[in-house]
Amino acid sequence: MINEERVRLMTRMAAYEENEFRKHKAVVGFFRADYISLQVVKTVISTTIAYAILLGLYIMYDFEKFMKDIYQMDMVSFIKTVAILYLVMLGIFLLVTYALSLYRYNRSLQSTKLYYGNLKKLSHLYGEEE
Amino acid sequence: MSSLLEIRETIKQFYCKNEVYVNPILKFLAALVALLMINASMGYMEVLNSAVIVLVVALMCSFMPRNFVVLISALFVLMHTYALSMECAIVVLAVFVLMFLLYFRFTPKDTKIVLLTPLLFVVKIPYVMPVAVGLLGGPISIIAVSCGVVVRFMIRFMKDNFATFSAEDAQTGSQKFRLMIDGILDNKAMLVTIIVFAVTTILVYTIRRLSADHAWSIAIMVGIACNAVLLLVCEFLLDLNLSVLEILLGNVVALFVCQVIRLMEFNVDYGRTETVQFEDDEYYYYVKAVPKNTVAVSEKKVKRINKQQKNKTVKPVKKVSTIKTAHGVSRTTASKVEDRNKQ
Repeated sequence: MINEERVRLMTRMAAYEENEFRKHKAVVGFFRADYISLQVVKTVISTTIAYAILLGLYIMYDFEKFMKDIYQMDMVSFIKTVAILYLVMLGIFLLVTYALSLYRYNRSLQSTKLYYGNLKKLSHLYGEEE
Repeated sequence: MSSLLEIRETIKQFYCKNEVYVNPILKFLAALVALLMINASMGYMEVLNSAVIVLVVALMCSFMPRNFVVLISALFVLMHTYALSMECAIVVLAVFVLMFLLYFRFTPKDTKIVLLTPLLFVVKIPYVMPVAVGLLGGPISIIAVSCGVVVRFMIRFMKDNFATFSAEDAQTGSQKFRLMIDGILDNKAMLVTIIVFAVTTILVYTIRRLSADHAWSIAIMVGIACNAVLLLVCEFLLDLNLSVLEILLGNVVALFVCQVIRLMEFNVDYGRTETVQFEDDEYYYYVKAVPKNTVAVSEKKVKRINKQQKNKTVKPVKKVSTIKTAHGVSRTTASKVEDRNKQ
């Protein structure tokens, strides 16, 4: 005879496995600190590239004027400004990344815990029937 | 209303049954429409305008992940831009890479919004986007809508200045480069559209999350009204070269489209709302439960009548009732008759 509770549980679990389980499993495969560190490293790389593109666009916008002024401008203050802006941008993105990856890790952990709990429950249901 | 619900259920059932075939077909259609629209609004590279290439690429998209359509569309835009001017292509590439690195790396699901927004601009109903995002998504998706608006205005700017960008000797490379960047940054209409869409999305999102009755319908109406009024006011004050008729008609169509979205996504019967109150050790609960509108789809039964069945004499079915045998095992009268026949 069909055990309705078991079928319901299996359907729910199959839907989860089909959609998000693989993603969540990959996240939970890391320790929390390792996962967040990896995301932070990725953000540092991507933000640095993005900043380089923005800086490149800024210089290219008026390249001739920039080349003319380059020998007269205060290079130290220019580099300082560029570095400060880079650090501000990096800081903002690191904060966002930290908050987002913490939230995602916790959500993945909860979902996978629930999934394994359901797996245990399913095993009990089979045991009861036997 | 019930017929609309029935259509919804039929679509759902059809999708569930044929998901394996429907998904690739939908992806193929999405890619085809996107690429055709890009070719129609840009079309600077002759090779890409070929129907064969569009069909082959769309077919390729149907077997790839969903975001591949977005990637291919971006590539098409980039190649058309390159055919127009290399300086423009550098700026467009920089914008796309910045969008990916700073936003879509975090929320890859939102990439479809960037594709949909310029496409809706082409069919003159971009006003659907902020309302739909407010209904189905969250306020963070405003960034994706804004990126879509930037892409659309970028493409339009290139189209408007086609002669300037395509002339080889008229301007130096750096002048074209500067013109393109100015065209993006100093575009009043683009900035106003981004701000109006952001306000609309936040407003729609806030209203639809209220527990008030008909929150979704109110959110749609307020969102559309806000969209139209703000754009018209900005048009009169700042002279943005937006068509008043287009704004009004576009918003009317958007209202209709958003109502369809509501019907598909959030269809409840407020007449049967139940308010319950209970408590446990730690909390008092005030719960408002609104039942969903559902309709059972009538299944079509096909009765096959052929000659063989007609000629056969159909025996009346014996009524099955359980009887006790000598060994105490339940059997049916039908099986008993069968046993007798065998003997």
